[in-house]
Amino acid sequence: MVGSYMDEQAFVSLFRDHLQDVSKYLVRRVSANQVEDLASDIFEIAWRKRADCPEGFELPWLYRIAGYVLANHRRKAENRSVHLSLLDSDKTSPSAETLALDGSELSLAYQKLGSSDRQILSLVVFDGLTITESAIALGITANTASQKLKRARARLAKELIQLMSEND
Amino acid sequence: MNEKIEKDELLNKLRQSAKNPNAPILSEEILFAATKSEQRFGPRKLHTPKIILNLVGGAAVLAAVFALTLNPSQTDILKDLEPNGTSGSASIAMGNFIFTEEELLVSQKLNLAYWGQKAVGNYVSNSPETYVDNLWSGQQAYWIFVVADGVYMPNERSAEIRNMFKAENLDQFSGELTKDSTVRGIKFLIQEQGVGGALYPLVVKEAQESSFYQQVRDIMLSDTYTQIPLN
Repeated sequence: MVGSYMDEQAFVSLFRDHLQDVSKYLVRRVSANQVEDLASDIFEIAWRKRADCPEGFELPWLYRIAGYVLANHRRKAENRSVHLSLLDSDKTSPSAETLALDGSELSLAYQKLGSSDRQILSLVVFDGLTITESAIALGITANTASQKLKRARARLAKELIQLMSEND
Repeated sequence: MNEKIEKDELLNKLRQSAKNPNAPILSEEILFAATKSEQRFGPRKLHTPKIILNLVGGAAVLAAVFALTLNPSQTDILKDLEPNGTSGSASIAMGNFIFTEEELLVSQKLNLAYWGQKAVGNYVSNSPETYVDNLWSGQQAYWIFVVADGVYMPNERSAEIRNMFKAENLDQFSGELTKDSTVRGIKFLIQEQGVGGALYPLVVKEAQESSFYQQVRDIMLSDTYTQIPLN
């Protein structure tokens, strides 16, 4: 079911249930002083688009909006001529700086991954979404999300093995 | 996290390697601001878009990206139709395009169409309604078409495509336009230049004969395209 249930009262509940999740999602990806502004944008869009919210998948839907807001935020921050910037890699995966990894070989391997791999891994591993929820957050099918995760995991393992062999 | 992931030792270790983020406590003022935000659907304004001030050489105001995704066999059709002996020019056959990201990903190739298609998804964070306000007025624009093997610009008829999106047409066919990127159809991404790169995506839904979709598609089928170097 999509959206028709999302009256004002339901939206208030959505907000209260997930405000801190959105805050955590953002703080993994941007500096803390930008979180409030971006969260404000996310909920403003969510309010306007609330009719599109799939019942039972409110949080991944919010993450999907957050992904778009983040992508635009980073694109603007880079202040690039954006004629073809959309052909660039995605801009929603956590950066190494904001994710605060512990410096282990595994975290170094993660940082070596492409942003597409980091994106799916971050949703599943750090944000705790299921495959189905990650698919909604990314706007793709569950099957595609599963394949993406599988490939990302394989590349993570490969990077880890390479790092470990270099350190031996 | 689902059970399958929980049992994955590598992913579990990765999860443990990330420090628990100290997320700011956000106030409910965000809620009040959100629910007071107005729907931006409304009568179109006739003001000149700010972006016109950013003209470079009198050229680009808007960049439009039409993300088409092809499966491998359709890419072959495209290649077969390239004129012999020409450089950078190709006729594009658009008979059996598949417009979903899933189809493209099946090919396991992260190509330009993949990125273009992903970008279409940016619509949520913008206001397609505003895009309509800006675009219908027929300002100069580049319409760039992303297909599996490159980025193309229409040679002659981009004006015709642009004219399709003028107010009179959009009013007539408003029911055939949507912001929902999951809908099959022709997906455009309009990208402003010089004002932060705001994106204004729109999906022209697949529909019946004589539909807006068919008209846009027919114009595109009849055009020729020049490949744009990316460097």
